[in-house]
Amino acid sequence: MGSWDFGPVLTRVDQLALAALVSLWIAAAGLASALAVGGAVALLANSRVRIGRLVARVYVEVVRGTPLLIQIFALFYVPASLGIQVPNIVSGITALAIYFGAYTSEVIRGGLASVPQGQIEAGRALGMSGMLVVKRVVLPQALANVIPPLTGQAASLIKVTSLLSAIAVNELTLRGAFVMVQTRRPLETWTVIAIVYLIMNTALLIGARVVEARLRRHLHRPGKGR
Amino acid sequence: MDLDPVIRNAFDLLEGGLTTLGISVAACGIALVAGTTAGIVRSSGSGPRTMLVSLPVNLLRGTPALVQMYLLYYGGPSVGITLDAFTAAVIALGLNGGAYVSECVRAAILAVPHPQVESARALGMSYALLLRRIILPQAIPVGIPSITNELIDVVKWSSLGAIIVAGEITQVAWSIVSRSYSGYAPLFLTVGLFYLSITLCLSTAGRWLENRLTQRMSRSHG
Repeated sequence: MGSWDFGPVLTRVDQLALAALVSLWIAAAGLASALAVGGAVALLANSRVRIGRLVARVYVEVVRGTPLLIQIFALFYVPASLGIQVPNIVSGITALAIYFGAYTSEVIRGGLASVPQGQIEAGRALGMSGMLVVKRVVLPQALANVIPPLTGQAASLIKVTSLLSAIAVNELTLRGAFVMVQTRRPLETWTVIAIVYLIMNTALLIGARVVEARLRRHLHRPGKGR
Repeated sequence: MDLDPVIRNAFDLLEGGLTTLGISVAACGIALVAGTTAGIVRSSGSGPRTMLVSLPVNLLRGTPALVQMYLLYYGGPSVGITLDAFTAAVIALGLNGGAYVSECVRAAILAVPHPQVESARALGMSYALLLRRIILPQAIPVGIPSITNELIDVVKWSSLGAIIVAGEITQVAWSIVSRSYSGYAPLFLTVGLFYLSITLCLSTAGRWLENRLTQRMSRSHG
């Protein structure tokens, strides 16, 4: 005991790499569905209907005020107890969509609010249709502005896919638990797992920086200098 | 809805609730102390000392809290650190939360206008005095909303203690439903409401504190 030996863990690195891909896939599916949920909630929160705004507000407060693990458990066990069989990966991704939907709705609202109202009015005054204003004026700027906070959301998503191990989704952390038992090398196993998560998150950050730079390329305003 | 499973297990749930509070308070304490210290060091410029603090902060922020908890709880004994589940949860969540708090502290400190810092230095203030008289009085009200959010997160993530059987409320509910195969909805709803009431209290307290400090700031300047 005491000496580090990564050998037994590293011989199982192919299992871990495969499980890491599952984690990434879950995170991507979670992000896509969270964007859909978040977009819908943002529309509701910005709507003229008072009850809609109230529903959006309660949704965001309740979801953000309770632990993700409880939401994962509730979505996994409650339908099953009512006789509705949902695969654990589906209920897991649904829980991620609901949880992160609450956060992304705020990001989307922030992004939309970041485009100055005067520009939208100017676009309309120049005779642009509402759709064209959205396409040419609002989206190019809002997209660039939401990339940094959305990257944060995506990074969180990659990390919290680990919680789906609690409902036996075969992702990186559950695989790690198997490897720990097989190798009896907990310290080495969890160090390697942590490094794999770190690599995934670092890759995400680098990718996001490239995307943001591309989106901002044509946004330099003349006269503001740079 | 049938509340019977909740009533029958009320005592266990209460005990779990208290354990959740215990983990949360202890982990928030660690997060505040470690995070504030790390944030101040990281805001004080560059150099080896800042790097030495930034590395663990980035490692903690780049990996899942659950994996950190496993590393400490299961990996610790191999290097002579044997902790019970409660302590492991407190330390792991405290350090994890501290990494996020340090970001908030750093951002709040950097929000203080730089000329103020420069003029204080030019007047011959030491960094400690500058921190106490110029930076912190302005940075604290600015940092409170984001720090409150991080502490709320620490309370929410205390539910991860369930996975290493730390005896907190999520685990209590989880073990009841796994034993009895019933009461899923009422138990998870009760536990959810328990967390919601804590987080709502915390966010209200955070807003109150922010208002008070901002008022006091503007009064002393006016």
